[in-house]
Amino acid sequence: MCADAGGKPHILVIDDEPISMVLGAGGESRTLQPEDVRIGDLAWADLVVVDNYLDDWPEREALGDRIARKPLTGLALAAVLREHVDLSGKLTGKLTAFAIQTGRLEQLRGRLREPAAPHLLARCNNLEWVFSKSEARRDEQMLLLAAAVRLIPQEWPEDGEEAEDKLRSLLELTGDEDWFGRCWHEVLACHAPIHELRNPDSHGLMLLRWLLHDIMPHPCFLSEIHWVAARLQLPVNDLQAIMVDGTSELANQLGSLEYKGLLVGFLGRRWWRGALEDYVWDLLGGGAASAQKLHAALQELAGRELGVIEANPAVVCLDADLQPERIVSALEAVRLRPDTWPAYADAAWTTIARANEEASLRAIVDPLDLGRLDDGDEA
Amino acid sequence: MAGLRFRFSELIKEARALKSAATKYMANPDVLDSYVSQLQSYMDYGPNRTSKLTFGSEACPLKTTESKGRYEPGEREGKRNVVATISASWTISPLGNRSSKTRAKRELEVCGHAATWVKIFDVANRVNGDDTTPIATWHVDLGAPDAPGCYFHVHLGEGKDGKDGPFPKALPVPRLPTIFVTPMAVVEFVLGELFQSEWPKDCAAAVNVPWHTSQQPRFVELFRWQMGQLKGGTSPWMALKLAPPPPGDLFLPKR
Repeated sequence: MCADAGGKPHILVIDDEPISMVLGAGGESRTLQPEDVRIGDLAWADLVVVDNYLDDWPEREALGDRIARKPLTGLALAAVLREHVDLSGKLTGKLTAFAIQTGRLEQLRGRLREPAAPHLLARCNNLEWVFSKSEARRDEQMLLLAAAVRLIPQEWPEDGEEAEDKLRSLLELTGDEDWFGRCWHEVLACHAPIHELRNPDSHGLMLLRWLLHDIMPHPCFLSEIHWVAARLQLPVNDLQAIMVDGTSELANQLGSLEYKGLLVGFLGRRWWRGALEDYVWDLLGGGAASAQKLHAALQELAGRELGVIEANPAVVCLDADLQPERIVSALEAVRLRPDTWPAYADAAWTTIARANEEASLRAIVDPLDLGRLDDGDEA
Repeated sequence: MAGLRFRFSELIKEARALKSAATKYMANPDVLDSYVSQLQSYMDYGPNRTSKLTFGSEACPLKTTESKGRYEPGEREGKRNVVATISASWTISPLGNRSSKTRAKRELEVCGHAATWVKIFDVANRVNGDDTTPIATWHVDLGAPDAPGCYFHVHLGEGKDGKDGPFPKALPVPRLPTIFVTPMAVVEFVLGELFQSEWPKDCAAAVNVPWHTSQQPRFVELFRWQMGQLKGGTSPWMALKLAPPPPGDLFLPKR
């Protein structure tokens, strides 16, 4: 049975305080107190967002010391509700995603280092996502997630080729693109959960989790703008300006390489990495990677002067929170081995200077690169 | 005179980066794993213990996938389907004391024979599925101080002085200069030759930056050293050919 991809996405928010969401015409939302939630409400929802702090719940307090019936936090409640959904979902064929929202992300971290990224918090707590109340795009992200749930089939084709076709369709890889073969190969190299989804006991939300927890937060077959800038050897600000303006031939050509599939825009714009590589290769006429030649070609397409990143090869270096910080020469950087970095993702880098300064980064420097740090002995 | 020195960590990174970049061109990439495993073992040896560091072997070399005429670039197609095999043997000695504190910087010294062999086979000549008789062969050597030719050189065929047969069998010269020092660099050279269009494109991908960075400093230092030999007093080629072996720390990371 397939999910109903038509109609507006439905978002159920469970909170002890009334809230309002800005969904516009794109979706429908309901807010319920925890005590008022029924199985029909969960069945209606594509996405259930539970506030983590449920302090004002008198019916729960009235239970006294019957603690098994008293989920203290939204996390606990989400787990209870998910079990109800999973059981009923087997009968109705409907998928429902779960997320937590909180104004205090740091208090969800559990055993993770602080601050822990939302995708890590979600993964460790059997959630699709964790929304911070300070995130300006929160409502938009909820809508995108709910919409994505509607597109996932509850049952995947058992035939391997049909399952691959379905995945390609969800990722909007049509097969017509010149760079299709390269990009599809890269998708498969990132352990796309196709074969697990073909298992009749599997859960369609595995695909969403793969994209949300593994692919989009890391440089894999999709590149975030910093990685695109590094490949094009353009300052990130220049590239952002070009894409925001959108009128130049460069913006148009780069736009044709953008990812437009499931969860598009959830964590910002992404580009197909393989398509970008083919683009640069063709732009240089298949010849040696001359930085001057690349810059000249990009400048002409942009129709304006562009800055340049001289470093070649250039890598995106991460800060202590593992967020992109700057683009430098790989000869000024060392590789990191963060605990939760997928093995199939591109290398994580940080500058030698950063690694020397920050103990938390030094601790995860690749042992083979330790010799490049000050007093670079093995940890 | 002290031999060329390399950090174990740099050679391991180099092999891993090449495997990541070029697995699709290798029929048996596990050869690189064995090479890395050797390096890791030697990294823990006591100092000055002479050993053979091997990359594959004559019986089990690294073998490329089949190049179906792709040794010609662009739209051209060669007439043969070929595979290449690469193997190497370096006589090395770990330097310095073993210590977990200094492991990341531990070095080895090339202290004897160091050669990387390349053989090209025409798939059409296989006997019972085996590649037995190469159609081309050469080896890339780090020279001995008293050997003819320059320190980094290529020896074509298996020429031995006085042996019967046409070149390259009958003569141990010419020895051609080379810029490929390590077995991994030789592998890349072979891939670039056998897959003239495919390898450059794959190699240029940003995901293969670790491979680029494993090679770039070494090439820069090699060219810098060669430039330094061109001091005049003879022809540039004679200056290079007669130059003494480079300093042992030529390829060590510079701070």
